[in-house]
Amino acid sequence: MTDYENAVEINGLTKKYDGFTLDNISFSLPKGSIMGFVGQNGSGKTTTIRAMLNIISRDSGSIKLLGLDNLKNEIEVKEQCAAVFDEIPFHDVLTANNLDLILSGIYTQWDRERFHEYLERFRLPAKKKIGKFSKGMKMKLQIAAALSHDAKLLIMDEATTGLDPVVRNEILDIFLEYMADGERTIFMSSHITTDLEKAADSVTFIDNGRLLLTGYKDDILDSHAMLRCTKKDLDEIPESDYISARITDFGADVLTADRSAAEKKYTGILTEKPTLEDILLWYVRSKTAKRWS
Amino acid sequence: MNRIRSLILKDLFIISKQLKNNLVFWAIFSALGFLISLSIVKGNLAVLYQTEEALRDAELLVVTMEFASAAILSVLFVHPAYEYSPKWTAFEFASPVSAHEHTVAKLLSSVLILAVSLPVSVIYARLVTSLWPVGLSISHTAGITCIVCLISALNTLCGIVSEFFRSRQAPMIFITVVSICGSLALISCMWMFEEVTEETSGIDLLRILPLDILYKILLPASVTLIIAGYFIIKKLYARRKNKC
Repeated sequence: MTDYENAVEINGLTKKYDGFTLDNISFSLPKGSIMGFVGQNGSGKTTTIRAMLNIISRDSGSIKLLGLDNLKNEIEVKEQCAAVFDEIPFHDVLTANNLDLILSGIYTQWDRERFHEYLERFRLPAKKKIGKFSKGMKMKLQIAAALSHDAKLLIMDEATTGLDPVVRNEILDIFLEYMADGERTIFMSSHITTDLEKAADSVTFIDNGRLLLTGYKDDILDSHAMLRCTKKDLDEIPESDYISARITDFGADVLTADRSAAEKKYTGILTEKPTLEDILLWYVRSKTAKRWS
Repeated sequence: MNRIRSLILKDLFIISKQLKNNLVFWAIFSALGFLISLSIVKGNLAVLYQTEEALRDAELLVVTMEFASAAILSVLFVHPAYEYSPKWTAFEFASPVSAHEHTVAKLLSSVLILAVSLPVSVIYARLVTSLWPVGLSISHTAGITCIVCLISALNTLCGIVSEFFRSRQAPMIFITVVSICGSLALISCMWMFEEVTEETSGIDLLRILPLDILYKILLPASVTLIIAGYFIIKKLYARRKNKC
């Protein structure tokens, strides 16, 4: 495996479907960090992940995973990557024991002992059919399989969606443990932004196939500000100074991308730190209207 | 090689478990289909088996019933065959397995399933023909063996066909039509064989077939089918992958 700085490097990724285009997506994810890939349903998260895994063909652009081209070095890349999907991709009639046998022939680095350790830790029965597992158990099984072949990059597509908060927290803890050696990277798509706020180092926002924003989570959160102002105050703020504004019965919530400038310029207005969800929502709404309610 | 073996293992795991889960359903309904056909044939033969002219009519009726059996069986077999056929999933597309390995594995698991289902079909056909009225010629045994073998082969293809059409109804219609046409072709062949083998009653299909036919026709045909199968499966894999 070559030495690399970025575990994921996507440049100009474009994929056209009838009625949807993933348009010129570019971002990178440094080795040893967690990136949250955020967007509403149908925004292009799954399409991007499928293009990364070469499950769908792309129209243009390049994708490098772990320093290698994902098409030219597909097998080598997939040996080192693990994918966790929102729906379990294993057949319902198989058991965890069957999976162990099958996957040990597919991944050269498959560690049967480690897989059984994870099964025990996640309290997953080895002889029960996967079809009879709960959603949380299915997700844990996917994660157990993903972590048992020493993957350097974990790609997750809405993996925590539909899980209760206890299981979600448990899974997030496992990820942090997985990241401990600094060599491993996680790329996780989700629309549950609270999970990402807890675990992610960087965030990429996508909407309607277009990249909205990408960067370190703390930088994004620190640079943006939510101005809580009256409608009269809002009229005095030039449109170029904010992303969009939500009009409420009591006033307006205005998102700006330049906190320090806003704090200096609008001293009388209360400024708060927005959440990732606020940022996503305000950016998405700005595509249709600068002011919305 | 390890990867191909693992993929075949996966297919066999899935098929054997699905079969085990649905064995009672499958056995009852396929036996029922056969019994209905047989009782109709037997009942009509009892009436018609009087004169030479009637015997000719009876033979025509047998042919009709063979078609009916084939049609009933094909429909009965298609449901479980569809259920048993292991589909390509996102897991396989995300695994470090090349399209070539996927194709070879799918082809080999199909051949393996056929290798098991062929003798089972022959035994099944022999069992059924032992229930036929005395006096029916060897061509009927051969005809039924062929039908059952054909259905088994089509069952194996069913999974691939359903992948192609991506619907439950399409393969059912397709398989039913193909089995009836196939049965018609096979029975016509067997009718021709009857001229040669009229006096060799009690010999099964494999002994009827001269060895040179096996070498000159079946062998090249099988090789051609396998090569064609490889390219068809590979194309289907790529197509399915892009739609995943």
